[in-house]
Amino acid sequence: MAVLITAAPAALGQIGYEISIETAPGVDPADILDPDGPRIPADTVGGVAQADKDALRYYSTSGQLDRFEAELRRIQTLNPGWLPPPDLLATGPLVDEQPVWDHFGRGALDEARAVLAELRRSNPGWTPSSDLLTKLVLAQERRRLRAAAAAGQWTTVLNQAREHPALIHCNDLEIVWDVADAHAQLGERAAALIAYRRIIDSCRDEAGWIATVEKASRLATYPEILGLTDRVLERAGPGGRTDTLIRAITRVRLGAFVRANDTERLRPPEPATVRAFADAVWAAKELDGALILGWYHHTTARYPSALEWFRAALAWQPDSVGAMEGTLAVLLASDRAAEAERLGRGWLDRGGTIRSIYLDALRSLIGDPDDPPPDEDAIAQAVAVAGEDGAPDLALALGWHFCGRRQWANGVTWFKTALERDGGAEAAKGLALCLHGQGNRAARDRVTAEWRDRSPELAELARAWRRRGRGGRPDPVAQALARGRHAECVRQANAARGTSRYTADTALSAGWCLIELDRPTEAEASFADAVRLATSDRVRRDARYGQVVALNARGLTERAIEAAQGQELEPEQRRDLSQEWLETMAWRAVNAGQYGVALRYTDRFAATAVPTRSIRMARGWALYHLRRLTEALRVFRAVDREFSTRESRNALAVVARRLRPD
Amino acid sequence: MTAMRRWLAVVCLVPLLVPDDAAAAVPGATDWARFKTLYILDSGRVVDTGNGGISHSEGQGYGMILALAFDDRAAFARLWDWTRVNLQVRDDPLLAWRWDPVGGRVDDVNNASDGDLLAAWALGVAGRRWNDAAYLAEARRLAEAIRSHLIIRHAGYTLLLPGIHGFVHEERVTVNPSYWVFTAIQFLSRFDPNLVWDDLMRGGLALLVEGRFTRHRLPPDWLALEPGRPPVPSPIKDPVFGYNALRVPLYLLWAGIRHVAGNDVLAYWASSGSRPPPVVTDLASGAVRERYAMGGIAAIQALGRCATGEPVGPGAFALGEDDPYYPSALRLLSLIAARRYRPDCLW
Repeated sequence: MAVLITAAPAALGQIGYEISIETAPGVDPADILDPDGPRIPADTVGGVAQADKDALRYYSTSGQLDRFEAELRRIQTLNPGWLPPPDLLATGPLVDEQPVWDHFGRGALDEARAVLAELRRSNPGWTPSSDLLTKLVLAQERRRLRAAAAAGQWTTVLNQAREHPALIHCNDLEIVWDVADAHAQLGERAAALIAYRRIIDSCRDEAGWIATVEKASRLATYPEILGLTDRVLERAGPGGRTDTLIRAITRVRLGAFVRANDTERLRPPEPATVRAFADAVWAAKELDGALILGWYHHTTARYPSALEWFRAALAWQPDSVGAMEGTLAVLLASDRAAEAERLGRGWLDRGGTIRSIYLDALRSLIGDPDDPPPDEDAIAQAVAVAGEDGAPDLALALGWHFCGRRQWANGVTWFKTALERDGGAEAAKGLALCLHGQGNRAARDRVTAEWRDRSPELAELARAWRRRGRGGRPDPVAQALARGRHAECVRQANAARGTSRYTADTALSAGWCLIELDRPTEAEASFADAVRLATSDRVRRDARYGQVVALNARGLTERAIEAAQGQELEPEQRRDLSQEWLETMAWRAVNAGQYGVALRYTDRFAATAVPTRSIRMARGWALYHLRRLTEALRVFRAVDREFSTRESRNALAVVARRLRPD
Repeated sequence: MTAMRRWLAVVCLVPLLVPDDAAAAVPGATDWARFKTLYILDSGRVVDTGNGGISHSEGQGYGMILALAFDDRAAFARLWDWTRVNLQVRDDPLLAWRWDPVGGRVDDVNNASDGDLLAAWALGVAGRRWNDAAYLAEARRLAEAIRSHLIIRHAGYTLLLPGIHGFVHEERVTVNPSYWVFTAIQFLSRFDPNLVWDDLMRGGLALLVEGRFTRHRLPPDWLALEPGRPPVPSPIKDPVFGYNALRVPLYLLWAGIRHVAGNDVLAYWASSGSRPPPVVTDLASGAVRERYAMGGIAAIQALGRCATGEPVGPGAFALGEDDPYYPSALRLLSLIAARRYRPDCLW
């Protein structure tokens, strides 16, 4: 029995087409039908005027295939889903249609039409079966839908599906996947998921189910994937849960769990099924499975197990970039940067994210001036790599390394290099500090003058230097903030408190240091001091902004909004505003170069709702500017996999350029 | 049925009024049959044989216009069907301009406005001639899309953007003077009544007066327009009078317009005397880059002679032996232009 499946009314409004299925014997249609009741295409035949049917009959009997097709298309536009009944067409001489069907069957539509035309020429008066004619017409419409999908014209794909509901069928999942893609590309994620869900609800084909959940996993959250795969298992029934199906589902679930990267709130897949999956992967020495398991253990911070899987993968396929990526990431995550650096050296040009992980490893070896000195070999390697690397990150790390050890000339060289490579405000700040250390005031002031508008920290620093130039004392708090020595900064501020040295600027700098140290309550107090002590509007405004950031960091988003807007909000407004506001603030922080602050906003957002695309892009850019390139790449990749847009592709390209300067 | 048989019998009883070979009654019918065999696949795809076998909206449009001229309804249906299925896949009604047979798909989804104009015109004529509501509806959709997306006012002219993307760079707009298919614009101004079509007509004719270069006053393939400056050959394209602009006299005469630009081009070709005509001329230096006996040019020259009242006969437009698609299309288009403008020259 052919039936049409419709979604709940709200969802139908979004989608506007139905999936036609053949219900299998023993399946209760009530399980899969819309509460409003099914629509059965045969019922609509009555809606087609006799005159129209007469015209069709005339065209078919007079051998005018082109006219027949045009007329059929017209009637179908007015009566979606309508198919001419078999008795509509007159019969004629007995002609073997098989050659046409043969071409049609192997998808050679043009040949099928050519052979049909030839048969008609040689058999005047013969009428092909209406089945053949309507299938040929439908095949043309299918071709148009696929052409639109291939050209990325997603509205056309959806219109075509709506105008020709007969295309949406379990026997042709490619079309339903195209439609789901179209929804996803047009930002209608929910509608895309409904399309995938309908395939599982409507069709009965293991390979189709597996391919569908794999496609859905590109845009579904982990809980949604659990729901979708549970439904597959339910539909398969105890008898249909083959090993292949279970393995495929476990693979998709593990992948979705890894991508969600939220072990605090999400429960990992069932341990027993993971074990069974692992056994099968081990027995078959299956590379992809090993990589998924490696990342799964990485995500759950079971680094020894993760390392075991990645090493196994490397043993099975010694040139696997994916396996090396995993190995390096695990070593880095378990504080074995030196090992990662040594292992990764020989793999720098192998693609993937290897170079970025390797640079992370090098940076973590030399980056922090407060750390114990790294071994000279690593420094030499970093200098060699940074020399040929077009990205600013390693140059920045080297700048901080040399300046931290008072090797000013080396430091200046590397910060200049970083600045030439678009290292931005961070490179400018480093350069100014290093020049200051070198005693080169004129050069220092040139850099500061050029960058102070783009870097709040550099502006603070410039004010401190100016005070000193006027005979005042340097503000050690601002300097510590600029150098990223946040604990030192807070110590200095506390020592100054209660003395004349505790100015609005000092309190402001201390506030930002406390934010960096994740001590928002004290930060809020410090910003409040700054507001009280402020003698200029600019400092007062910056301090108020600091208060908002601090309130938000304490989780008091609504109060932060009120502080930002200077007014109280109704409870209803609070809920509506908070997400939108967090998004706005995250972007504002990104644009102001306060990337740590931006991350706090995106974290806060993620704690209250599923992150939007925009908030994830903001997070990606913040990570990027914080030189956490691997993480940024992961965020942008995930966003791009869901719906690839110019924005997400551009982001990926920018990160990729940093990772692969050539 | 009996009545119809009787009527058919009556028709058959008057053979003197109907030539024996009905095809021969229409000048060029044999050439059209050959054109179909050589360049149009059964699926309705027009193959640009001189260009890697690709297809484009312009070629489909030419095919549809020719099918109409030879009253070949079946061919028209196939041509439009292929165009609709494979090129009309953009999210607006315009046609993706280029289809690559290697991938079997559209490889540039941007449109080309001359292809859109030709298709809108052809569909409108077909819809009226055969009383086909679907063709009429498609023609309206296309005409409206052209009007709302592609016609702009800039630097004092009403212009036809060559495509949706890539032709507006800050103050500079790039146009292709040979995308003004004047006959199509004339038709659309009646079919889709809106003054903008008349403005477009005037804009194109004005550009052809002011945008001409070298001492021979030749129109460029691509023309750049900036407010307050005279038009110049586009700096982002090759500054030539070449394969595009050679259609300028064809489109003018087809629309029944005597225009200096058309006359100058014809005079330029004629100045070659017994040598083959220049096909590509550098507009910066005036030097001829390519010169050969291109069949399409000979046909347009014949059309020019028609315009002066000289009887040239249908042989002047016959397809060449080994011509690729483009010259052949120009020959047949010149023929139907002559039939429309000066049928007496074919007698």
